[in-house]
Amino acid sequence: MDVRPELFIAGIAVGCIYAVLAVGFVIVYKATRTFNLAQGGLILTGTYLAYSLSAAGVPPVLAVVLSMLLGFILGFAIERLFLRPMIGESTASILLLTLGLNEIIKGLLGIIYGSNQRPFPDLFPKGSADFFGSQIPMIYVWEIGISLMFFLVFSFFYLRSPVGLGMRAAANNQDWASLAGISVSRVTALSWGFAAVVGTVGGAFLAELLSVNSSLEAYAFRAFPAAILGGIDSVGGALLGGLVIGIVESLVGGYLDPWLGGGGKEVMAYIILLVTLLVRPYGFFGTEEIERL
Amino acid sequence: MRSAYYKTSYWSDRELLPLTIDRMAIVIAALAAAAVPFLPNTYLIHLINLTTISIVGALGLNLLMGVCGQISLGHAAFIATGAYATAILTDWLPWVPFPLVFIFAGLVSAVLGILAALPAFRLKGLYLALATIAVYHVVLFVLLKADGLTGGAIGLKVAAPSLIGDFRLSELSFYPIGLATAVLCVLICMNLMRTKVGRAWKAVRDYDLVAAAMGINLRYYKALAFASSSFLAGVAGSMYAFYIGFISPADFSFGMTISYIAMVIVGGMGVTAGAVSGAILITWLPFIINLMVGYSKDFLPGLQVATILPYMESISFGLVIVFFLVFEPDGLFGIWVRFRKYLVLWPFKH
Repeated sequence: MDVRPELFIAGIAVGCIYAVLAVGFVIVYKATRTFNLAQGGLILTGTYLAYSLSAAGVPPVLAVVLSMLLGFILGFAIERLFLRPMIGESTASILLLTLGLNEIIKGLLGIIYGSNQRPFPDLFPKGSADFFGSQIPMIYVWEIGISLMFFLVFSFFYLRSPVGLGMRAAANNQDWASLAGISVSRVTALSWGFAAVVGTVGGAFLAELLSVNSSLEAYAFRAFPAAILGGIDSVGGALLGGLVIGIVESLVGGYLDPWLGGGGKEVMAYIILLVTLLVRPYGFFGTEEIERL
Repeated sequence: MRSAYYKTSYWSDRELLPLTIDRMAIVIAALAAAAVPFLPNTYLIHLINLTTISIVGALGLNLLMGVCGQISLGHAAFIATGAYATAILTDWLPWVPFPLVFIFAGLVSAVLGILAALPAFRLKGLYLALATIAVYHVVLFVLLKADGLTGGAIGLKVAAPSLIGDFRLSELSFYPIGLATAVLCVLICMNLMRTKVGRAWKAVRDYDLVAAAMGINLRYYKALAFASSSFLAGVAGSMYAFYIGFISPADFSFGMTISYIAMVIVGGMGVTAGAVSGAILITWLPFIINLMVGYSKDFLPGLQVATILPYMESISFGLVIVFFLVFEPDGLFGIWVRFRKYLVLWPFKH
């Protein structure tokens, strides 16, 4: 079997995007103890916003930054409007609520934009770099770099900043955190805002690699395995999980799919998810808190 | 005066339909069901047939999600399994009577359900929901790739059902089959709720640790919940396969799972009557939206009806889920209970 380093590179690039998307799940989980199934809708919203802004003449990079801001407001608003009344309900109800929200967002975007593929403006300079004898597109280099930068910022945010510390405290125990003077509701709203920001970034990267269309939502669902594999409450785990999923998907796509006739790439993440849940549900770095029954 | 809120004997606690008003509602529903074959429009009968299929599937999801409290986002996979089991069995053994095919499809689906329950032994709540999403995608992948058996992406033609000789299914001839199966499943589910199994499931849902402390074997009852749920899903899939006559993986999208979840939430989680009413509402919702969009076309000439319809459907399911979860967590059944209380106690308030 021939070694194809470009598969690894592509895997790392997509893996970084998965990692960024997985952080979105981690942030919301840390704050609310529930999975955010609306992440796909948030990703689509951010990406379509960036697309529309740049189509209206805003420079692409500025368009992404603006749609990050708008995404933050959207995430914040969703928490205020829909999740606030659910405080005290079971996490299962909240999970199903986010599923319903996802359907609404998807449907609205579908009515506005339809199902056509749309080209996303170039965010990064084109060209390719030489890497140990194989050519890798500059887009990958930029995406990997910016994703890693995001992780540094987020780690720093959670480790040092007062808001981040408050978020961790609220994740640990909501009652004690509010006794210590942390506004749990504000932390939750902020978390949803950040999740939307992260989703916008990941979505913009994906759109840059592929194109803007409604199928980007599927990538949000496939970022779940990344979050679970790394540990659902671990930011660093999300990076590792994302990279693993990205590389495995890329390798399966390169080696197995010609033989399978396609489709293996898409299902691989879910097989990894099933195995993770059966063998080690808390992932690489997650807190071991799942009760065995 | 009987109000159903004050039980005076253990027997009264176990009655299936303690209230006259409930019995009256059922008589009215039975009369309506008897009138269906006389409807002038075959499309309406077609919708009602789809409703009977949805009722069976929703009852299945309700057992798992509403009664036993295990969230499943992979219901479409079990329905697909039942449908494919039907197509393949009728291809090999075309003489098997269709009630046996229903049971066979249910059993095949139940086996898959038990396999899907394996993560449930170790996982609770939300993790289980993810595991079932993964199961769904793996099942669809297998259906797509095992094209020697399942026809791959193209799909399979389903042979006509046979009882005493084959018969061709039309809208009218499916209706009694669909109705009888749905009624039978409703009766089974309602009676299941007042047996040991039903009470054990509710205990697992309400507080699993306490349930275990009371001697309920959690693994056994969770596996049983998955098996029964996917059995009913398999029967629904089998009905669907016979009725439509052609199945392909595209029929069993993730949207199908969402519509079934919407049915259970809208009807009222954990209540058999709720699953039935939710199934009716959600199956008819796209039709109602279709009508409404058709009317609004007169006011908004630029409306691209054909392109926005699927999105409208998705929005309406989402809105219904969100609305009921936030404002009416007990669902349609909760509304009925309030209305019933008002009627039973009238002219008094309490």
